[in-house]
Amino acid sequence: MRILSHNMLQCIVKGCGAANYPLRLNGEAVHKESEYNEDFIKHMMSKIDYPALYQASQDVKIDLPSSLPEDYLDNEEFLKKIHDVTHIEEGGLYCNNCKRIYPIKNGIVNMLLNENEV
Amino acid sequence: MSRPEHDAPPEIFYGDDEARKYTSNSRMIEIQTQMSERALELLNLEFEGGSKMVLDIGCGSGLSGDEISRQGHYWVGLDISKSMLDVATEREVEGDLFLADMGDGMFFRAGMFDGAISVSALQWLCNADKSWHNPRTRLKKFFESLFAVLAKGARAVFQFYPENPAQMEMITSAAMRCGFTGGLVVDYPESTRAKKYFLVLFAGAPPEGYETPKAKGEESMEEDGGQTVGYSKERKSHDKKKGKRSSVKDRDWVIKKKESQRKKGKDVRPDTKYTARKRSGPKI
Repeated sequence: MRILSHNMLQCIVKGCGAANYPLRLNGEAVHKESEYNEDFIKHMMSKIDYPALYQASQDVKIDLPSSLPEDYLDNEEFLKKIHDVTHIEEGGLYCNNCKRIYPIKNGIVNMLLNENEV
Repeated sequence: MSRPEHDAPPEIFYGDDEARKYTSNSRMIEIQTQMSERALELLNLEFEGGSKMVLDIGCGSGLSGDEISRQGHYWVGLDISKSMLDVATEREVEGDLFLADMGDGMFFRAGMFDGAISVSALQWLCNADKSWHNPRTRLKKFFESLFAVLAKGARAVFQFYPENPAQMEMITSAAMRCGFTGGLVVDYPESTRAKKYFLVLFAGAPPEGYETPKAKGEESMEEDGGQTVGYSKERKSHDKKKGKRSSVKDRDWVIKKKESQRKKGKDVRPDTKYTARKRSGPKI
């Protein structure tokens, strides 16, 4: 799973409440090459929740500035860093609110819920 | 027509054996790819502002995802079958993969996606595979959460196999109740085998130039043409393709075949003026 995708995820366990975002991240970051697509990353930046991204980067020990640079749309170095597809292959997601753990195996996140969680 | 939904739940039906077909069976791959292409065509992602983020519901082995990548967009996919997702990983697809049940609802933040597609998955929602499953509540949960994760005005296109008109009605009305607008597109309506259903939905009001369907009253919907999008002209191109096919076993065909056998390292007779020539003399 990419760090960027983590930014979109929230806990959907029944009754988890409003504090279901962001999920904490556990695992080791693996770097994978990908073609830099400036338009796409700028488009995504409008949707990204930066504090959550920063926290995720801290969780898996990637170096990102603690706050969004003001000139981020022109800061190619910064955008490239965000775009750099950092994958989590093994590990898990953890909901701080309801303590639910979503395991990540072989890059696939298991979001299946049990009967009492639906 | 066989209906796999009647045999087993999706996570069981799409086991290792079935999943492997999606990498080895060229006919299945072709059909899946064609349907994905058509779904993306109906999704009509504007390329202005660059690549878009698409959600693939029931992404399986990632054949539909490949199509999204090919068109320069990004995607994340979810599927309930672990085996299918393993195949997708093996194939090194571009998108991120989630093992999830669409009936549990979407687990993304609001407004994250610029579009959603789903190929051959929606009909599974009409099943109750677990004791606590209720198709109506699951459909409601699915469409409600999908509406939330789509950006305002984004489209969602579902290719699916409705079992009967009642099921079609159940799915469509569930979507409309959750705030979607749009309707059904039927390709090749006159053919039993090639007939394909596409549910085209808009999150919120449809874009300008697209007639707003009335919320109630079947008649008025048909009159203003907003509810159903016109039939596609795919049939024509389909026939054209057929015409291009050269007649089987003429000289060109034989020479091509021999060439391909040679490439495989087989012992093949050289091409001469006698190659693929009709035999003379009386037929025995």
